[in-house]
Amino acid sequence: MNFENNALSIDQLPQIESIDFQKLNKEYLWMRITFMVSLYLVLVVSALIYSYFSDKFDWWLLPSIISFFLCWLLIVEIVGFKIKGYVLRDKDISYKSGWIFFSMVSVPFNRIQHTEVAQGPFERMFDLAKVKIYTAGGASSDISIPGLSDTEANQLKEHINALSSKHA
Amino acid sequence: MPDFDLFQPQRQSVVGIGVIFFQKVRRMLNVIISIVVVQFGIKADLTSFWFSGSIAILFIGLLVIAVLTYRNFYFYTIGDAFIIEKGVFGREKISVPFERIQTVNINQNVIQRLLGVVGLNIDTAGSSTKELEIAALPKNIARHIQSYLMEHKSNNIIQEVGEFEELTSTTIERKALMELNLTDLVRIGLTENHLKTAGFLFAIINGYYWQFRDYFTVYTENILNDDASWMNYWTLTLSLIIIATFIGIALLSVIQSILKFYGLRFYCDQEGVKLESGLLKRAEYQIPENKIQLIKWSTNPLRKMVGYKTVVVKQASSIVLNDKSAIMIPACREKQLERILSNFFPEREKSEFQEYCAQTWLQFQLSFLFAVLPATVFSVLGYFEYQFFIVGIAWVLVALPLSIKFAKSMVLKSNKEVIQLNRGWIFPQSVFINYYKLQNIQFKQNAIQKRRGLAHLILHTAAGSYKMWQLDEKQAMEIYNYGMYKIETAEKSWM
Repeated sequence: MNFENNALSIDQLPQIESIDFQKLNKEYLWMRITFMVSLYLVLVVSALIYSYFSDKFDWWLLPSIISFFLCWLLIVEIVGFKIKGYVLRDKDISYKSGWIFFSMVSVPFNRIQHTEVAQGPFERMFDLAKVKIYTAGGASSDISIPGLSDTEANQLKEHINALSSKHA
Repeated sequence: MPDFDLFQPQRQSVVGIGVIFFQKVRRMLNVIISIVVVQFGIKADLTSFWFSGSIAILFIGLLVIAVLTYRNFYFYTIGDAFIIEKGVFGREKISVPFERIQTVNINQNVIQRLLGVVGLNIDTAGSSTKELEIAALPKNIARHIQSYLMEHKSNNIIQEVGEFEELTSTTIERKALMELNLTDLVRIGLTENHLKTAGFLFAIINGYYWQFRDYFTVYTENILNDDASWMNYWTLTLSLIIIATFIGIALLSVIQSILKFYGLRFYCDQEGVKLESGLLKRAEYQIPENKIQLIKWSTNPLRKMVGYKTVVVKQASSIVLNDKSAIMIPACREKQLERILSNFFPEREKSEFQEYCAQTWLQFQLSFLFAVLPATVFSVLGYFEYQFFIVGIAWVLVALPLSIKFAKSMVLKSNKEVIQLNRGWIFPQSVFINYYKLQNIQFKQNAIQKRRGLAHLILHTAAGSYKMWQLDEKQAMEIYNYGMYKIETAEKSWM
């Protein structure tokens, strides 16, 4: 009989913080920027039209406020993009994100309820998709990995499904 | 079981018509009352021919619906699913696989008690729980169905053990861990969190007041115009009203606790937990051992004085905040709590607990939020009206120590198998979770925390998420890694 029961110390445990995370596709960043800029353009045009017809504001006031917000959001998005990433280990999948509000979640394969691949209109334009992973732990414990190519997303989903039924 | 075949479509007891009828009447009454009040005001002539006539027709209609509901209602089992067919005019067939059944509860309201039947409630993980209800069954048949369903839903586990196991499990009479007597119930009622109830009551009364403000102002104007005496008059009546309200609330709480917890019996053993209670409406809840996700206790200053803790046993539920799927014991003594804990967390004594406290930063954070910030607002107001300065000082004197005490009370304890989360000073509460019951763990850190080397840790379970604030970053990571290791190597299933 091959039986081992070694004492376990905390340092010997696999450490998630020392693993390199897989970065998201560059297209994802471009998609987010396109999305923001198009939203920005819509807002600026409507702000200009509004200030033209009402005398409450000077014409440049609202657009410059919106532009300021755009700059801020772009900075957050670009810096945040470098932080976003996922990693597959033998027994779990982890996702991290957030520059100002950092968050990292690991979902063990033996706790996955179901998975799905989702694609929004902007994501379709860039041929991107996201994988959503659901657990029984409520909405905030579910993870959603964006910025995968369509085929990558489906592969990842299949891979996770295979592992989760193996570990269940 | 004598002449009862669960494989053939069965109707419920004939008296079910009565039970269904009263259910419908009660539901209808709520609607009727609000319509009548809104439409005709309180002075409506309820004895008029039209009114009583339409009520009579309504009642006959409800009776017909009740009879049809009864006639079209069947339940039976096919293969490994429990099936309910129902409908008044249309037809609906609900099929529940045994494995999806969470719990099967038996309960009895006043009508059911008068008619000598019980209701059977089948709870699935889904959200539409109310639909799986059999209104009227003789008690022995309800028991039979309950044990049949519970047995078959964990079939694949029991089958391997064989008949021997089944025999022993049926012959062992379950012994109640605790029963509450009348003095206990009175104590529970008196030690309820009255401030909360008072706040609730105030909110309701306030709502009504704004609705009927015009009536009140006529009355109060008279008094206010009565120059000098009104001040004394009001302080006296107001204090009397407050005292009377609190006495009333305490009395109501006692009555409520007697109605709800009369004859409470709590069972706790290898099979899980079971709770029976209620005076008019007798309810029975049970959670099988493997469905229990966590155990939580809480108390308040009054309860602490009589040595009681409120214990909640939570099971997996799709609606996270729904406490209905949890079992609550309103008064549990230290010794009994110890027994419950050692029953479900036998690993609790096996290894040393390590303490992880919230870092001092939390004290600053809470003091700032709850003491300094409001105090600043009060000082600004005090610039205009000096009384606000006094309020501000009083506020800081109360809020500051409370914030600091609260921050200090936040502790996470962990040994090799069990994790315990404490928080609260005036209203302390404590949560116990087995590592293998966790779903996953979340590590959160904002920019300020990153600079200070701090982090939040959120433990997600199938019965809610629990957050530990402002841990040391390294310790948080340590628990995170250890937790993942424990979940991934767990041999026991989380449900």
